[in-house]
Amino acid sequence: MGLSSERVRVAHLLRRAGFGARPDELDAYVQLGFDGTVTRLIEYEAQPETTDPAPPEQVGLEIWWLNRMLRTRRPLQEKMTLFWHGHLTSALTKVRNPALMLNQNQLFRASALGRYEDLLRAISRDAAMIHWLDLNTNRKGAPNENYARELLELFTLGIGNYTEDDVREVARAFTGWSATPAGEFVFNRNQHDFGPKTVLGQTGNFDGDDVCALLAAHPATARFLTTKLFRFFAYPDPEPAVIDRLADAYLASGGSIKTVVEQILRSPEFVSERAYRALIKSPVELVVGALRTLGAEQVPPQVTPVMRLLGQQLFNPPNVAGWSGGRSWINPSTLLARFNLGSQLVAQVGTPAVGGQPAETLLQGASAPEAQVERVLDLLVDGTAGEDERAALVAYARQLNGRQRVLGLLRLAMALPAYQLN
Amino acid sequence: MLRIPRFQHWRTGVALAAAGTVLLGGAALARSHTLPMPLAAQTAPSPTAAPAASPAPAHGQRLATVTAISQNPPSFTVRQANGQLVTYLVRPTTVFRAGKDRPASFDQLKVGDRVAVRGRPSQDANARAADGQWVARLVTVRPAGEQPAGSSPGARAAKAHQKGGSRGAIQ
Repeated sequence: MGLSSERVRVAHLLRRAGFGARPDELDAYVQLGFDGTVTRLIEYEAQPETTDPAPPEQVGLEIWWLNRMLRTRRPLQEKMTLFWHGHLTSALTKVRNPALMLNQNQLFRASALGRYEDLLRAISRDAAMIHWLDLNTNRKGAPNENYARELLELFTLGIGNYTEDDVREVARAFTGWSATPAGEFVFNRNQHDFGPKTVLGQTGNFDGDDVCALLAAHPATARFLTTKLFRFFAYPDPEPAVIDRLADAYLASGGSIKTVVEQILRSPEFVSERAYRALIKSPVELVVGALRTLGAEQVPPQVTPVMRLLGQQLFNPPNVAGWSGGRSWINPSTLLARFNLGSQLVAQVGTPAVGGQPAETLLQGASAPEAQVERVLDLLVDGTAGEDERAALVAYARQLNGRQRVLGLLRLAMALPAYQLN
Repeated sequence: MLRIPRFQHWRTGVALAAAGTVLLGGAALARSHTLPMPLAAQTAPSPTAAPAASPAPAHGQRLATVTAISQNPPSFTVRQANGQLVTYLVRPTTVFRAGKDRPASFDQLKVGDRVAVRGRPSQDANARAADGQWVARLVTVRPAGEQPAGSSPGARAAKAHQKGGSRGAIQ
């Protein structure tokens, strides 16, 4: 079936540029049409800010953020916050200060679709990042190259586009950049190397901001970052011509992430058959997507240990390269845990822990087994399912009645292979 | 479209998954926690707020109860499990957190809160300020009245409902 209808295209867009849609939301977005939905997502500042049911001081960072993803009227802003969290990584296990991680998260949210140079300058001053990559021990005469190396390799140019001399010179440019444990940026003039540096063939008395400008404007950064964004939103192996086009747009716009993301979402590649169901849902997308589809109002705290089992703990990427994603999310044990998770969430909808209406209300108006099966498939997998899968679901439904039938159908449909795909 | 492994008999697989729910849930609960040590036996807070000269505090990771808070200078006093009173100075560099992933601050600290404090000299030669008092570097707080993760009535009810829903739905 693929992206054969406007409804399916809009649902695909909302899964990729957000975390999926509630049933009533999807109807409203379909009214806007695909292009109108892209505009609504990109121009998210016209939408109201998300209200938090509970602050992070009360529920912890993970649940707080998951709740934001669940309740947001700005799904693309939250999706980009997640992207930046996995790209410009820091982890609570080393930072050990939730307030700093929260500040960093808010920085990503505020900079979601801004200019990349501005974000690089801000993240270089971010206390969580400074502690994560040891920038606070980077001093004149004894530079610590950790931040410089990851800045070049993972955050901007990509491996093969710089030399070891560049790493050393960039480290010198950032000497004296530090932060207090309480999160305040500090520039220690006495520890800064004010001498001339040569970075990527250019020489000057560069400081950290100058380096950020050089890196953000470099063609290798344009290709590296646009490739990563395309893989995040569309499919894993973009054609070189597509990246050429996106990199040109990035450079022509002065490094505008908004320009690049909008081009990706409006590209023919994004709505191609190649893009449809081409990505495996991350644990975050699985949890939040399921809760949004089921009409939940808050995230139950029990999901966070399960997400850890599935390989994704927010605010704790496994290493500086972030989460590998893709097929790494699926193995025999995580697949079973993913099925379990869907089953648990279905049971919890309508309870005080999760809120929303009981699951039976999702199938209102459909009473016959065949009609309920179609409604469930439409709700969870755009109506796409093989004839054998449909027949099996109908046969199952005929054995049960009422709430048991509805819950059972939802659970089984969440175990379909298509549901594990984004 | 990406192809991932399909269950040949996926209904059976889901039934097995439901049976595995309790096992996975139990393992997950065992891992979830907000503070590393169980609560020590509580003692009544001291009626006095005046901090005395502090002998060397006990191990920095054991929970102690806040008995007094002062703003001038910023400091707090705790009663440790052995009954010893220790006063910690709060500096701008002191980090507060509630559990592992909840931000906290000195302003939110209350008498009766349970805390684990890092500030022992054997952990940090600079922990002791020039005037001989202890300086807190990292304070992990469990606010007064808060239960460990998974022990609240709401958490127990959610867990009971979750178990009942799983047994009822899969035939």
